[in-house]
Amino acid sequence: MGESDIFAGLASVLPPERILGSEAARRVYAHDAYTVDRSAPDVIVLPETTEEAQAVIRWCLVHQVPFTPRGAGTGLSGGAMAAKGGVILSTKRLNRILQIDIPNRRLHAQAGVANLKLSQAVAAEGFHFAPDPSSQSVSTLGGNIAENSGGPHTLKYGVTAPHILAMTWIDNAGEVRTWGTGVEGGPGPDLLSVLVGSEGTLGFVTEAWVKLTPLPARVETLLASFPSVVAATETVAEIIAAGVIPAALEMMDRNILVAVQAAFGLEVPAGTEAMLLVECDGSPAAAQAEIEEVFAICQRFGAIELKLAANEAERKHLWTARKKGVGAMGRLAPTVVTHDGVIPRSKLPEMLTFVYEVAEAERLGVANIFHAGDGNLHPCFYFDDREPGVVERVVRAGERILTKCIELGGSVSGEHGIGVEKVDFMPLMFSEADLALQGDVKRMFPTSEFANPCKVLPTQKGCVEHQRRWRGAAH
Amino acid sequence: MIDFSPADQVVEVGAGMAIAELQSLLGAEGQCLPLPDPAEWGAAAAGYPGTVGGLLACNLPHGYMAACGMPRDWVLGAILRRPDGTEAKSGSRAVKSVAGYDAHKLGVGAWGRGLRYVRVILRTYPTKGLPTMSIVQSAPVQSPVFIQRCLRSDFDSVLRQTPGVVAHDPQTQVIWSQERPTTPPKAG
Ligand SMILES: Cc1cc2nc3c(=O)[nH]c(=O)nc-3n(C[C@H](O)[C@H](O)[C@H](O)COP(=O)(O)OP(=O)(O)OC[C@H]3O[C@@H](n4cnc5c(N)ncnc54)[C@H](O)[C@@H]3O)c2cc1C
Repeated sequence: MGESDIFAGLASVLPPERILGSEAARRVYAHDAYTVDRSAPDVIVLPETTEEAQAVIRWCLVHQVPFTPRGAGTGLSGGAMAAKGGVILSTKRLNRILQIDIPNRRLHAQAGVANLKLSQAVAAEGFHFAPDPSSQSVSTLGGNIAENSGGPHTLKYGVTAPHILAMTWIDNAGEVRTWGTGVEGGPGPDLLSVLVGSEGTLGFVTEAWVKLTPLPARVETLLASFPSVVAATETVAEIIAAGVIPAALEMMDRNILVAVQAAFGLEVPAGTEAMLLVECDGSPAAAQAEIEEVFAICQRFGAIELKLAANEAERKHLWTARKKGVGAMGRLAPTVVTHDGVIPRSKLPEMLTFVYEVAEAERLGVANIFHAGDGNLHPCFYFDDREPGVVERVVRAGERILTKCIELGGSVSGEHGIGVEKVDFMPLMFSEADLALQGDVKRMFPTSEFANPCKVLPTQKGCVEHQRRWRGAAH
Repeated sequence: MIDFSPADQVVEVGAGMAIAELQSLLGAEGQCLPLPDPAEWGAAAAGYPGTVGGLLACNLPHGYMAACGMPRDWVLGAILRRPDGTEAKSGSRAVKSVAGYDAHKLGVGAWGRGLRYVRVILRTYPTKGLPTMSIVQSAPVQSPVFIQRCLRSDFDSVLRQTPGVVAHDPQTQVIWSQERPTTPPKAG
């Protein structure tokens, strides 16, 4: 079916001003924040209600037009890319908070509401929505659910899944379903946990009830500088082993610090090779006791400098390097590719050494800024993509790093998901029998080859040919 | 026990291991599953006596739930046996992972239907980090026990109307009672 037929057909179920099909729009929606692979949709639709979204999905199913859900498009694995063209089902207009229920510590919102808006809506009442991906000012509730997103405070508060109480979603047969109740932990199989993190391949989420978490009474933030990466990673392992559960435990290496120093004038003590940002929260007494213990551990492992935030302004300042690190990397080279892998955290020293070795062998710049407390690495390779052969080396470096993550008992993705980017890596981590089980899990839900195709599981119908079209389309 | 890494706070065990045995093995390294001591807490100590597989299959509320979550939140991966007898792996030893469909969550709360756990990978907690419990125990426990969970705003009235309450937790709105609850479950 051609673009104009799709446009005309969908105009029978949605007001035409909420169907975009211009060349410019199609280009913008051809990729998410993972820009290597690109595939333009035919049209983009902007439903405002569950019913409208359902009408679009039903139309697509009847007319065999592929459709792909999309939130803010900050995903880093191509999950929101229209792999076979067709329709992008955007949540841009599903942007209302429907109900705030402070007595029961929950909030009901449409899937397109930005993560940060949820927290802002209840901050005055002393609450927040705890999952805090670094993209939280734009990334949406629906995207967070799809990717089971984490963030700096995941170490203590967990990923998105435990914060979702109930969801309204449209399955891939076009039926509206509501799963979960307003109360957590009901009886029966935990299907909600399977749906969260399924990368928008099992259905389209339109609304969710989320759990609200009280803001901590006290937050203590410490920035520690270390003379070597090994000293910093060993400190991380020791903090965890000592039984402290900080709210956040983040690490930045020298190359990130150089970029942030250049971009934002961050002071970096001489001889610093790595910094740790540690946050402890809770009751004033608990937060104080924990941060003191962390302070002592950092000293024992040879920290050069320890800075404790005295107030909120200083706390924000200490977070500068962490929050702006990836952005500042633009200063190092024209192109930056951020990888995502996760390992048992005691293996951090070994893993980081390996990352540097790979970068050197492949002649690439690498900077590391990541959720150390969770063992979730984000090696950022920076390079000039006009250099012949460099993209192949970046891809190879990524593959070697992910293979090592698996070898160490970890996973090919901590939080960015499989999307289209890592589909071919799934067999590295899972055997045929394991993948067959996942295929069956998918088939427990209504499936359609037109619903968000070519994501997560390898060897889907017709995807190999399409992959040839989109793979590396940016170049 | 197949593997225990106190530094990672991750343990891999056969699903048939008794919770009590696992707790004593973990305890030797200052770690635990955050479940209340059964000697002290009786009914509120979900999982005792029982096995790791049973703990996940039931996914019951317990005294540390407010701070440490439910058993569903501790399972990182598993080797599962399918009804046809074949086995497959899901998840990993890392504390977070978004890699495919989380088949290892499917046995949680499923009361043994469908997939069976053969081995499970669980996250453990430092014993010294355990919070204080807010459970109020009001009567000695005799089995069986009924468990209710309700909205915060309904808690007081549900508690008042429940006969034979043995324990309740105002923080998580869980009520354990010896008699079948008379209050009809509310929507919401
Ligand atoms: C600078 C930067 C920092 C980041 N930091 C983090 C971080 O700290 N932690 C982290 O976990 N991630 C991080 N990410 C990745 C990304 O922000 C998250 O995955 C986020 O949850 C994606 O949300 P989104 O609304 O942008 O979704 P999109 O990118 O639009 O979509 C992501 C996936 O979700 C699906 N989807 C979207 N909405 C729905 C819906 N309503 N129903 C069903 N499926 C849907 C899409 O099909 C797609 O597969 C970062 C990204 C950037 C660019």
